[in-house]
Amino acid sequence: MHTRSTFIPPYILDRIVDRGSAYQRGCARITLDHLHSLLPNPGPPHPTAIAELGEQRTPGHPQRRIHDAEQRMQLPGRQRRREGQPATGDPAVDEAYDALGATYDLFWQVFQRDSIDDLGMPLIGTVHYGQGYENAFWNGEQMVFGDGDGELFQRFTRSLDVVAHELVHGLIESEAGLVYFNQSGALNESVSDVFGVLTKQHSLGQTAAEADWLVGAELLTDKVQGVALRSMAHPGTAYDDPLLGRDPQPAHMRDFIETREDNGGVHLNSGIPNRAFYLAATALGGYAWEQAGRIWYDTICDPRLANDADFATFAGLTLTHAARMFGAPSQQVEALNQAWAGVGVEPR
Amino acid sequence: MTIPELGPETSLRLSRQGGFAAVPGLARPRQIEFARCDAAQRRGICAVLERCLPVASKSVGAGDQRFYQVELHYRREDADAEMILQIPEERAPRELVQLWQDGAIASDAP
Ligand SMILES: [Zn+2]
Repeated sequence: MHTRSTFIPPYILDRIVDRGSAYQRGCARITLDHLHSLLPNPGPPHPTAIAELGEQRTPGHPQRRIHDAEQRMQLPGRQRRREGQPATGDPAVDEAYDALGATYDLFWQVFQRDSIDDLGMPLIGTVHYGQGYENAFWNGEQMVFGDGDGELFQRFTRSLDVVAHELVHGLIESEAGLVYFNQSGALNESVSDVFGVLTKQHSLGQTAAEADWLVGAELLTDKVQGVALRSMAHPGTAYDDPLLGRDPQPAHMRDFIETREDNGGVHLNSGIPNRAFYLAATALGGYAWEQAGRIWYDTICDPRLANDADFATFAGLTLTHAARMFGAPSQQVEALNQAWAGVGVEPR
Repeated sequence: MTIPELGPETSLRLSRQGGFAAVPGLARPRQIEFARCDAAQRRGICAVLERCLPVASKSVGAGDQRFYQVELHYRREDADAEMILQIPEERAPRELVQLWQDGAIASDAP
Protein backbone atom coordinates (compact mmCIF):
# COMPACT_ATOMS: atom_id res chain seq x y z
CA MET A 1 0.00 0.00 0.00
CA HIS A 2 1.53 3.32 -1.03
CA THR A 3 0.39 6.92 -1.30
CA ARG A 4 0.22 6.30 -5.03
CA SER A 5 -2.96 4.34 -4.57
CA THR A 6 -5.08 7.40 -3.83
CA PHE A 7 -5.85 10.53 -5.70
CA ILE A 8 -6.15 13.83 -3.91
CA PRO A 9 -6.94 16.74 -6.21
CA PRO A 10 -4.17 19.35 -6.21
CA TYR A 11 -6.32 22.17 -4.86
CA ILE A 12 -6.97 20.21 -1.70
CA LEU A 13 -3.29 19.48 -1.25
CA ASP A 14 -2.60 23.20 -1.62
CA ARG A 15 -4.84 23.81 1.36
CA ILE A 16 -3.00 21.26 3.45
CA VAL A 17 0.31 22.89 2.54
CA ASP A 18 -1.06 26.20 3.80
CA ARG A 19 -2.46 25.05 7.07
CA GLY A 20 -1.24 21.58 7.88
CA SER A 21 1.37 20.37 10.35
CA ALA A 22 5.00 20.01 9.28
CA TYR A 23 4.48 16.29 8.85
CA GLN A 24 1.39 16.80 6.72
CA ARG A 25 3.19 19.44 4.67
CA GLY A 26 5.90 16.95 3.93
CA CYS A 27 3.41 14.35 2.79
CA ALA A 28 1.45 16.85 0.74
CA ARG A 29 4.53 18.11 -1.03
CA ILE A 30 5.60 14.63 -1.95
CA THR A 31 2.20 13.97 -3.45
CA LEU A 32 2.16 17.35 -5.19
CA ASP A 33 5.56 16.71 -6.74
CA HIS A 34 4.29 13.36 -7.80
CA LEU A 35 1.26 14.93 -9.44
CA HIS A 36 3.36 17.53 -11.20
CA SER A 37 5.66 14.92 -12.61
CA LEU A 38 2.87 12.71 -13.69
CA LEU A 39 0.06 13.21 -16.12
CA PRO A 40 -1.22 9.71 -16.51
CA ASN A 41 -0.98 8.63 -20.11
CA PRO A 42 -2.18 5.11 -20.70
CA GLY A 43 0.20 4.90 -23.66
CA PRO A 44 -0.50 3.05 -26.86
CA PRO A 45 -2.89 0.12 -26.77
CA HIS A 46 -1.40 -3.19 -25.77
CA PRO A 47 -1.89 -5.16 -28.94
CA THR A 48 -1.83 -8.57 -27.36
CA ALA A 49 -3.54 -10.11 -30.37
CA ILE A 50 -1.31 -8.59 -33.03
CA ALA A 51 1.62 -10.91 -32.51
CA GLU A 52 -0.74 -13.81 -32.87
CA LEU A 53 -1.86 -12.48 -36.25
CA GLY A 54 1.76 -12.18 -37.35
CA GLU A 55 2.17 -11.53 -41.06
CA GLN A 56 -1.54 -12.01 -41.64
CA ARG A 57 -1.93 -8.25 -41.86
CA THR A 58 -4.59 -7.36 -44.39
CA PRO A 59 -4.47 -3.59 -45.12
CA GLY A 60 -7.87 -2.41 -46.30
CA HIS A 61 -9.66 -5.23 -44.49
CA PRO A 62 -10.44 -5.40 -40.77
CA GLN A 63 -9.75 -8.40 -38.57
CA ARG A 64 -12.84 -8.56 -36.39
CA ARG A 65 -13.51 -10.92 -33.50
CA ILE A 66 -16.73 -10.70 -31.58
CA HIS A 67 -16.99 -12.42 -28.21
CA ASP A 68 -19.92 -13.10 -25.90
CA ALA A 69 -19.53 -12.51 -22.15
CA GLU A 70 -22.82 -14.40 -21.60
CA GLN A 71 -23.96 -11.85 -18.99
CA ARG A 72 -20.82 -12.31 -16.93
CA MET A 73 -18.06 -9.75 -16.55
CA GLN A 74 -15.13 -11.84 -17.72
CA LEU A 75 -13.26 -10.65 -20.80
CA PRO A 76 -13.04 -11.40 -23.61
CA GLY A 77 -15.66 -14.15 -23.24
CA ARG A 78 -16.56 -16.90 -25.68
CA GLN A 79 -15.72 -16.16 -29.31
CA ARG A 80 -18.85 -16.01 -31.47
CA ARG A 81 -17.86 -14.57 -34.82
CA ARG A 82 -14.53 -14.16 -36.60
CA GLU A 83 -13.71 -12.18 -39.71
CA GLY A 84 -15.51 -13.52 -42.75
CA GLN A 85 -17.92 -15.76 -40.85
CA PRO A 86 -21.65 -15.40 -41.56
CA ALA A 87 -24.11 -13.59 -39.33
CA THR A 88 -24.95 -15.42 -36.12
CA GLY A 89 -28.53 -14.24 -35.70
CA ASP A 90 -27.65 -12.67 -32.35
CA PRO A 91 -28.31 -8.96 -32.98
CA ALA A 92 -25.66 -7.78 -30.51
CA VAL A 93 -22.95 -9.95 -32.09
CA ASP A 94 -23.88 -8.97 -35.63
CA GLU A 95 -24.34 -5.27 -34.85
CA ALA A 96 -20.92 -5.13 -33.22
CA TYR A 97 -19.37 -6.93 -36.20
CA ASP A 98 -21.00 -4.60 -38.73
CA ALA A 99 -20.31 -1.42 -36.75
CA LEU A 100 -16.63 -2.23 -36.26
CA GLY A 101 -16.44 -2.90 -39.99
CA ALA A 102 -18.06 0.45 -40.78
CA THR A 103 -15.63 2.24 -38.47
CA TYR A 104 -12.67 0.48 -40.05
CA ASP A 105 -13.99 1.51 -43.48
CA LEU A 106 -14.23 5.20 -42.57
CA PHE A 107 -10.63 5.32 -41.36
CA TRP A 108 -9.29 3.23 -44.22
CA GLN A 109 -11.22 4.83 -47.07
CA VAL A 110 -10.93 8.45 -45.92
CA PHE A 111 -7.63 8.56 -43.99
CA GLN A 112 -5.85 5.41 -45.28
CA ARG A 113 -5.50 4.27 -41.69
CA ASP A 114 -5.19 0.55 -41.04
CA SER A 115 -7.16 0.03 -37.82
CA ILE A 116 -6.72 1.40 -34.30
CA ASP A 117 -2.93 1.52 -34.35
CA ASP A 118 -2.49 1.89 -38.14
CA LEU A 119 -0.77 -1.50 -37.94
CA GLY A 120 -3.81 -3.64 -38.57
CA MET A 121 -4.67 -4.27 -34.93
CA PRO A 122 -7.53 -6.78 -34.69
CA LEU A 123 -10.87 -5.27 -33.65
CA ILE A 124 -12.01 -7.23 -30.64
CA GLY A 125 -15.46 -6.62 -29.22
CA THR A 126 -17.34 -8.31 -26.40
CA VAL A 127 -21.14 -8.14 -26.21
CA HIS A 128 -23.63 -9.23 -23.51
CA TYR A 129 -21.22 -7.94 -20.86
CA GLY A 130 -22.75 -8.07 -17.39
CA GLN A 131 -26.42 -8.12 -16.44
CA GLY A 132 -28.47 -5.17 -17.61
CA TYR A 133 -25.16 -3.36 -17.96
CA GLU A 134 -25.81 0.19 -19.12
CA ASN A 135 -22.41 1.11 -20.54
CA ALA A 136 -19.91 0.58 -23.34
CA PHE A 137 -16.17 1.10 -22.97
CA TRP A 138 -12.66 0.63 -24.32
CA ASN A 139 -10.40 -1.06 -21.76
CA GLY A 140 -7.04 -0.48 -23.45
CA GLU A 141 -7.24 -3.69 -25.49
CA GLN A 142 -10.77 -4.16 -26.70
CA MET A 143 -14.29 -2.79 -26.87
CA VAL A 144 -17.03 -3.92 -24.49
CA PHE A 145 -20.80 -3.51 -24.79
CA GLY A 146 -23.59 -4.00 -22.27
CA ASP A 147 -27.17 -4.99 -23.03
CA GLY A 148 -28.68 -2.04 -21.16
CA ASP A 149 -31.23 -2.39 -18.38
CA GLY A 150 -34.16 -2.46 -20.81
CA GLU A 151 -35.93 0.27 -18.84
CA LEU A 152 -33.83 3.28 -19.85
CA PHE A 153 -31.20 1.82 -22.14
CA GLN A 154 -31.26 -0.76 -24.86
CA ARG A 155 -28.18 -2.71 -25.95
CA PHE A 156 -25.25 -0.43 -26.66
CA THR A 157 -24.45 -1.97 -30.05
CA ARG A 158 -27.66 -0.51 -31.48
CA SER A 159 -25.95 2.82 -32.17
CA LEU A 160 -23.23 2.71 -34.81
CA ASP A 161 -21.78 5.96 -33.45
CA VAL A 162 -21.43 4.39 -30.00
CA VAL A 163 -19.45 1.40 -31.26
CA ALA A 164 -17.27 3.73 -33.34
CA HIS A 165 -16.81 6.07 -30.35
CA GLU A 166 -15.29 3.24 -28.31
CA LEU A 167 -12.94 2.21 -31.12
CA VAL A 168 -11.78 5.83 -31.45
CA HIS A 169 -10.79 5.83 -27.77
CA GLY A 170 -8.27 3.18 -28.75
CA LEU A 171 -7.10 5.19 -31.72
CA ILE A 172 -6.58 8.31 -29.57
CA GLU A 173 -4.51 6.27 -27.13
CA SER A 174 -2.19 5.28 -29.94
CA GLU A 175 -1.94 8.86 -31.26
CA ALA A 176 -2.45 12.00 -29.13
CA GLY A 177 -2.87 10.00 -25.89
CA LEU A 178 -5.08 12.79 -24.54
CA VAL A 179 -5.10 12.48 -20.73
CA TYR A 180 -8.56 11.54 -19.51
CA PHE A 181 -8.96 14.46 -17.13
CA ASN A 182 -10.23 18.05 -17.35
CA GLN A 183 -9.99 19.73 -20.78
CA SER A 184 -7.72 17.15 -22.41
CA GLY A 185 -10.16 14.48 -21.22
CA ALA A 186 -13.09 16.43 -22.66
CA LEU A 187 -11.17 16.62 -25.95
CA ASN A 188 -10.66 12.85 -25.79
CA GLU A 189 -14.42 12.44 -25.38
CA SER A 190 -15.23 14.99 -28.07
CA VAL A 191 -12.91 13.48 -30.68
CA SER A 192 -14.52 10.09 -29.98
CA ASP A 193 -17.97 11.60 -30.52
CA VAL A 194 -16.79 13.39 -33.68
CA PHE A 195 -15.50 10.24 -35.38
CA GLY A 196 -18.42 8.27 -33.96
CA VAL A 197 -20.95 10.43 -35.81
CA LEU A 198 -18.67 10.67 -38.86
CA THR A 199 -18.70 6.87 -39.06
CA LYS A 200 -22.49 6.93 -39.08
CA GLN A 201 -22.67 9.73 -41.65
CA HIS A 202 -20.09 7.96 -43.86
CA SER A 203 -21.99 4.69 -43.60
CA LEU A 204 -25.30 6.36 -44.50
CA GLY A 205 -23.80 8.65 -47.13
CA GLN A 206 -25.13 11.71 -45.32
CA THR A 207 -23.95 15.28 -45.79
CA ALA A 208 -23.37 17.55 -42.80
CA ALA A 209 -26.72 19.20 -43.51
CA GLU A 210 -28.58 15.88 -43.62
CA ALA A 211 -27.10 14.39 -40.43
CA ASP A 212 -28.84 14.60 -37.04
CA TRP A 213 -25.54 15.06 -35.10
CA LEU A 214 -26.91 12.94 -32.25
CA VAL A 215 -24.82 10.49 -30.22
CA GLY A 216 -26.47 7.30 -28.99
CA ALA A 217 -29.93 8.05 -30.42
CA GLU A 218 -30.78 4.33 -30.73
CA LEU A 219 -29.88 3.48 -27.12
CA LEU A 220 -32.76 5.12 -25.28
CA THR A 221 -36.02 3.24 -24.77
CA ASP A 222 -39.42 4.75 -25.59
CA LYS A 223 -39.88 5.49 -21.90
CA VAL A 224 -37.12 8.07 -21.84
CA GLN A 225 -37.97 11.67 -22.57
CA GLY A 226 -35.11 12.45 -24.88
CA VAL A 227 -33.72 11.93 -28.37
CA ALA A 228 -30.18 10.73 -27.60
CA LEU A 229 -27.41 10.80 -25.00
CA ARG A 230 -25.70 13.83 -26.52
CA SER A 231 -26.38 16.37 -29.23
CA MET A 232 -23.36 17.79 -31.02
CA ALA A 233 -25.48 20.46 -32.71
CA HIS A 234 -27.18 21.61 -29.52
CA PRO A 235 -25.36 20.28 -26.45
CA GLY A 236 -27.58 20.28 -23.38
CA THR A 237 -30.80 19.41 -25.23
CA ALA A 238 -30.52 15.64 -25.75
CA TYR A 239 -32.78 14.56 -22.87
CA ASP A 240 -34.77 15.86 -19.95
CA ASP A 241 -36.18 12.91 -18.08
CA PRO A 242 -37.35 12.22 -14.52
CA LEU A 243 -34.98 9.25 -14.16
CA LEU A 244 -32.02 10.23 -16.34
CA GLY A 245 -32.03 13.84 -15.27
CA ARG A 246 -31.38 16.66 -17.68
CA ASP A 247 -28.63 16.76 -20.30
CA PRO A 248 -25.97 18.86 -18.52
CA GLN A 249 -23.64 19.54 -21.47
CA PRO A 250 -22.52 23.13 -22.03
CA ALA A 251 -22.39 24.45 -25.60
CA HIS A 252 -20.17 27.46 -24.90
CA MET A 253 -17.14 28.36 -22.75
CA ARG A 254 -19.24 30.76 -20.67
CA ASP A 255 -21.05 27.69 -19.32
CA PHE A 256 -17.89 25.58 -18.84
CA ILE A 257 -18.38 23.27 -15.85
CA GLU A 258 -15.71 23.12 -13.17
CA THR A 259 -16.31 19.88 -11.33
CA ARG A 260 -14.56 17.05 -9.60
CA GLU A 261 -17.12 14.58 -10.93
CA ASP A 262 -16.47 12.46 -14.02
CA ASN A 263 -12.72 13.20 -14.11
CA GLY A 264 -13.36 16.91 -14.29
CA GLY A 265 -16.47 16.65 -16.45
CA VAL A 266 -14.95 14.91 -19.45
CA HIS A 267 -18.42 13.85 -20.69
CA LEU A 268 -19.84 17.30 -19.92
CA ASN A 269 -17.45 19.89 -21.33
CA SER A 270 -16.96 17.79 -24.46
CA GLY A 271 -20.14 19.55 -25.61
CA ILE A 272 -18.07 22.67 -26.34
CA PRO A 273 -15.58 21.20 -28.87
CA ASN A 274 -18.43 18.98 -30.16
CA ARG A 275 -20.41 22.03 -31.15
CA ALA A 276 -17.31 23.68 -32.64
CA PHE A 277 -16.92 20.69 -34.94
CA TYR A 278 -20.61 20.80 -35.87
CA LEU A 279 -20.41 24.53 -36.64
CA ALA A 280 -17.30 24.09 -38.80
CA ALA A 281 -18.67 21.06 -40.65
CA THR A 282 -22.06 22.58 -41.41
CA ALA A 283 -20.48 25.88 -42.50
CA LEU A 284 -18.21 24.03 -44.92
CA GLY A 285 -21.05 21.86 -46.21
CA GLY A 286 -20.79 18.60 -48.11
CA TYR A 287 -19.59 15.45 -46.39
CA ALA A 288 -18.23 16.33 -42.96
CA TRP A 289 -15.42 13.78 -43.13
CA GLU A 290 -13.90 15.36 -46.24
CA GLN A 291 -12.81 18.71 -44.78
CA ALA A 292 -13.61 19.17 -41.07
CA GLY A 293 -12.98 15.46 -40.42
CA ARG A 294 -9.67 15.58 -42.25
CA ILE A 295 -8.56 18.62 -40.21
CA TRP A 296 -9.53 16.94 -36.92
CA TYR A 297 -7.83 13.68 -37.93
CA ASP A 298 -4.55 15.38 -38.80
CA THR A 299 -4.73 17.31 -35.54
CA ILE A 300 -5.01 14.23 -33.32
CA CYS A 301 -2.22 12.51 -35.28
CA ASP A 302 0.08 15.53 -34.96
CA PRO A 303 2.93 14.78 -32.52
CA ARG A 304 2.90 18.47 -31.54
CA LEU A 305 -0.46 17.94 -29.83
CA ALA A 306 0.47 17.56 -26.14
CA ASN A 307 -1.34 14.84 -24.22
CA ASP A 308 -2.61 17.46 -21.75
CA ALA A 309 -3.73 19.91 -24.46
CA ASP A 310 -6.57 22.26 -23.58
CA PHE A 311 -9.32 23.49 -25.92
CA ALA A 312 -7.38 26.59 -26.99
CA THR A 313 -4.27 24.60 -27.93
CA PHE A 314 -6.31 22.03 -29.80
CA ALA A 315 -8.21 24.79 -31.64
CA GLY A 316 -4.93 26.46 -32.61
CA LEU A 317 -3.63 23.23 -34.10
CA THR A 318 -6.83 22.66 -36.11
CA LEU A 319 -6.23 26.10 -37.66
CA THR A 320 -2.61 25.21 -38.43
CA HIS A 321 -3.77 22.13 -40.30
CA ALA A 322 -6.60 23.93 -42.08
CA ALA A 323 -4.11 26.54 -43.32
CA ARG A 324 -1.65 23.87 -44.42
CA MET A 325 -4.31 21.90 -46.28
CA PHE A 326 -6.41 24.66 -47.78
CA GLY A 327 -4.25 27.78 -47.52
CA ALA A 328 -4.57 30.92 -45.41
CA PRO A 329 -6.64 32.83 -45.94
CA SER A 330 -9.13 30.27 -47.08
CA GLN A 331 -12.79 29.54 -46.65
CA GLN A 332 -11.85 26.62 -44.39
CA VAL A 333 -9.70 28.70 -42.03
CA GLU A 334 -12.43 31.32 -41.88
CA ALA A 335 -15.09 28.69 -41.08
CA LEU A 336 -12.91 27.26 -38.34
CA ASN A 337 -12.24 30.65 -36.79
CA GLN A 338 -15.97 31.30 -36.74
CA ALA A 339 -16.69 27.88 -35.24
CA TRP A 340 -14.27 28.27 -32.34
CA ALA A 341 -15.46 31.84 -31.74
CA GLY A 342 -19.00 30.49 -31.74
CA VAL A 343 -18.25 28.39 -28.66
CA GLY A 344 -16.08 31.00 -26.96
CA VAL A 345 -12.70 29.28 -27.49
CA GLU A 346 -9.80 31.54 -28.46
CA PRO A 347 -7.35 29.42 -30.43
CA ARG A 348 -3.77 29.54 -29.16
CA MET B 1 -1.86 4.54 3.06
CA THR B 2 -4.43 3.75 5.68
CA ILE B 3 -7.90 4.96 6.47
CA PRO B 4 -7.57 7.84 8.92
CA GLU B 5 -9.29 7.82 12.29
CA LEU B 6 -12.84 8.78 11.60
CA GLY B 7 -14.77 10.61 14.28
CA PRO B 8 -18.52 11.20 14.55
CA GLU B 9 -18.23 14.40 12.48
CA THR B 10 -17.14 12.35 9.45
CA SER B 11 -19.24 12.35 6.34
CA LEU B 12 -18.86 10.18 3.29
CA ARG B 13 -20.15 10.60 -0.23
CA LEU B 14 -20.17 7.60 -2.52
CA SER B 15 -21.08 7.83 -6.19
CA ARG B 16 -20.58 5.94 -9.42
CA GLN B 17 -19.13 8.00 -12.20
CA GLY B 18 -17.96 8.02 -15.78
CA GLY B 19 -19.03 5.67 -18.53
CA PHE B 20 -20.29 6.35 -22.02
CA ALA B 21 -23.72 7.11 -20.58
CA ALA B 22 -22.41 9.46 -17.89
CA VAL B 23 -25.85 10.93 -17.20
CA PRO B 24 -26.80 12.61 -13.91
CA GLY B 25 -29.39 9.94 -13.06
CA LEU B 26 -26.85 7.12 -12.99
CA ALA B 27 -24.39 8.59 -10.45
CA ARG B 28 -26.87 8.09 -7.59
CA PRO B 29 -24.61 9.61 -4.94
CA ARG B 30 -25.11 8.32 -1.42
CA GLN B 31 -24.30 10.58 1.50
CA ILE B 32 -23.53 8.94 4.85
CA GLU B 33 -23.19 10.92 8.10
CA PHE B 34 -21.25 9.07 10.78
CA ALA B 35 -23.19 10.95 13.43
CA ARG B 36 -26.26 8.99 12.36
CA CYS B 37 -24.55 5.59 12.36
CA ASP B 38 -24.00 3.34 15.35
CA ALA B 39 -20.54 2.06 16.24
CA ALA B 40 -20.99 -1.24 14.40
CA GLN B 41 -22.08 0.53 11.24
CA ARG B 42 -19.07 2.83 11.39
CA ARG B 43 -16.77 -0.15 11.80
CA GLY B 44 -18.51 -1.75 8.85
CA ILE B 45 -17.97 1.31 6.67
CA CYS B 46 -14.31 1.52 7.66
CA ALA B 47 -13.88 -2.15 6.81
CA VAL B 48 -15.31 -1.50 3.34
CA LEU B 49 -12.95 1.44 2.85
CA GLU B 50 -9.97 -0.64 3.96
CA ARG B 51 -10.87 -3.17 1.29
CA CYS B 52 -10.95 -0.41 -1.32
CA LEU B 53 -7.46 0.92 -0.59
CA PRO B 54 -5.48 -1.73 -2.48
CA VAL B 55 -7.62 -1.33 -5.60
CA ALA B 56 -7.96 2.47 -5.53
CA SER B 57 -6.24 4.32 -8.33
CA LYS B 58 -5.63 7.92 -9.28
CA SER B 59 -6.17 7.40 -12.98
CA VAL B 60 -9.54 5.83 -13.56
CA GLY B 61 -12.28 6.16 -16.12
CA ALA B 62 -10.29 6.21 -19.36
CA GLY B 63 -12.22 5.02 -22.41
CA ASP B 64 -15.59 5.26 -20.64
CA GLN B 65 -14.73 2.75 -17.91
CA ARG B 66 -16.93 3.47 -14.90
CA PHE B 67 -15.58 3.95 -11.40
CA TYR B 68 -16.71 4.55 -7.85
CA GLN B 69 -15.67 7.70 -6.07
CA VAL B 70 -15.53 7.90 -2.27
CA GLU B 71 -15.15 11.36 -0.76
CA LEU B 72 -14.40 11.32 2.94
CA HIS B 73 -14.68 14.52 4.95
CA TYR B 74 -13.31 14.27 8.46
CA ARG B 75 -11.47 16.20 11.18
CA ARG B 76 -7.74 15.83 11.65
CA GLU B 77 -5.78 17.80 14.24
CA ASP B 78 -8.62 20.28 14.55
CA ALA B 79 -8.75 20.92 10.84
CA ASP B 80 -11.06 19.79 8.08
CA ALA B 81 -9.51 17.08 6.00
CA GLU B 82 -10.56 15.16 2.97
CA MET B 83 -9.63 11.91 1.32
CA ILE B 84 -10.76 10.79 -2.10
CA LEU B 85 -10.67 7.22 -3.29
CA GLN B 86 -11.42 6.23 -6.86
CA ILE B 87 -12.07 2.57 -7.53
CA PRO B 88 -12.40 1.08 -11.03
CA GLU B 89 -15.75 -0.66 -11.41
CA GLU B 90 -14.30 -4.04 -12.35
CA ARG B 91 -12.11 -4.08 -9.25
CA ALA B 92 -14.66 -2.70 -6.80
CA PRO B 93 -15.24 -4.91 -3.74
CA ARG B 94 -18.76 -6.31 -3.62
CA GLU B 95 -19.28 -4.60 -0.25
CA LEU B 96 -18.65 -1.20 -1.81
CA VAL B 97 -21.16 -1.84 -4.59
CA GLN B 98 -23.75 -2.92 -2.01
CA LEU B 99 -23.08 0.17 0.07
CA TRP B 100 -23.62 2.34 -3.02
CA GLN B 101 -26.64 0.42 -4.26
CA ASP B 102 -28.55 -0.24 -1.08
CA GLY B 103 -26.69 1.58 1.67
CA ALA B 104 -26.10 -1.88 3.07
CA ILE B 105 -23.32 -2.49 5.57
CA ALA B 106 -22.48 -5.83 7.09
CA SER B 107 -22.92 -5.08 10.80
CA ASP B 108 -20.33 -7.63 11.94
CA ALA B 109 -17.77 -6.84 9.24
CA PRO B 110 -14.40 -8.48 9.88
ZN1 LIG C 1 -16.00 7.98 -24.44
